[in-house]
Amino acid sequence: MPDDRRVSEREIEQGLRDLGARVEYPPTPEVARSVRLRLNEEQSRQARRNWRWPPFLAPRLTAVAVALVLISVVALSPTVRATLSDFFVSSDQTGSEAGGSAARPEIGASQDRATQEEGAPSQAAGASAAMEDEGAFGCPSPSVRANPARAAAGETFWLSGHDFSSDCGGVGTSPARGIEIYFLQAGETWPLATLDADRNLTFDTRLRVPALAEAGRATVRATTRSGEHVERRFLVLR
Amino acid sequence: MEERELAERARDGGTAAYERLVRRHQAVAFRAAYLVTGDAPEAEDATQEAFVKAYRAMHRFRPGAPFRPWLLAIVTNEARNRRRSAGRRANLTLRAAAESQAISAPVSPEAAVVAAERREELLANLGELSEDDRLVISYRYFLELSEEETATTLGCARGTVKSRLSRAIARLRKAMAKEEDA
Repeated sequence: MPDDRRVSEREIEQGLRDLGARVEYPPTPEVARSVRLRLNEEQSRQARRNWRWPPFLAPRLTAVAVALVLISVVALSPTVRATLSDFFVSSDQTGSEAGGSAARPEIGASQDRATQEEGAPSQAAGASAAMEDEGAFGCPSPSVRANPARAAAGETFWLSGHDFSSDCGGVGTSPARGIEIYFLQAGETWPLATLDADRNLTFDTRLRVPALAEAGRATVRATTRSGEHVERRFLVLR
Repeated sequence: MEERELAERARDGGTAAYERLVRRHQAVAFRAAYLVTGDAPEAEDATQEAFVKAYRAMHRFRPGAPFRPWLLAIVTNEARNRRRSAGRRANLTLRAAAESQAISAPVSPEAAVVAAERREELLANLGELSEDDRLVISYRYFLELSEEETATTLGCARGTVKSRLSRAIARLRKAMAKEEDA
């Protein structure tokens, strides 16, 4: 059949126009009202949310404010600062050996040390407790740090101390003298050194891990003449 | 109230003004959605959702621009997304109204039967076209959108509408010629 006898494109267009006027759609639903109700509901929900969290109490701002308060407390309190510092430094240096700086006195300590502990049981009851008490009166808390915090028997390490004063609470502050350094492990106590703090209330000394120390956990302890002691965990390597 | 003023107020957050805008355009919006989905409940959902989205997007509506094509573009997108997420092809079941005096001049009964058959044939072939072809024809001839409006609604250039329309009609003609041959 020739093409011109078939429906032409113009006829198709005309047919479509004609069809457009006759197409039957489903009845148009009434959506205007429901749309407005949804929008009003959204707006009131938004308003309620704003009422619950005014700008100055928004969750993020509140969190920032709380963080600032905590940072201020830490920054202004020497005790908290020292405790946190000890904790993090200990974590960094000892890895799995991380832990607090304070420890109970070991059995088998030197005779002098035992005497001191008997004479001043409250002072020997733990470094952190003693330090916290001191810190409460504004005295700096002494601390020690071993570097490295792990070494094999016979190897050397550096021990530095801070805030070692002899007359905290008095009129002035003078460096502590006769600080005794011990190495403790499994009931054994090895005296390592006796030294004085410098005028900055610090010391820095090179020490040697006792040759008889065995691989495993150990403690380095600094004891002042007044019987206070500070400890740092140490790991003896194979 | 003028449509431009209603749009301005809606843009400023006026839900009452927006409700009036919705009322003005809900019929064409629903039909546009129905032409995409081929399903009345789904078209209704798409229409409502599109109106809500359009309100949220009113800040992007250019003041002074025609509201209808801007709205229909959102409606079409929403309807398309819904149909695609349902994972099915549109089952368009349009029906043409019977001959009536209001629509056409009086014709002989035989001519009326032939015309009705031709319309049904046209509708059936339209349903077989691709979505792009079907929509460009439906929006242009059934919703009676201008080329400019069709272009805005379908998110393409006016020239694209022209060429797509021409190709779609050619395909439609070819399909009808095949049926005549058969």
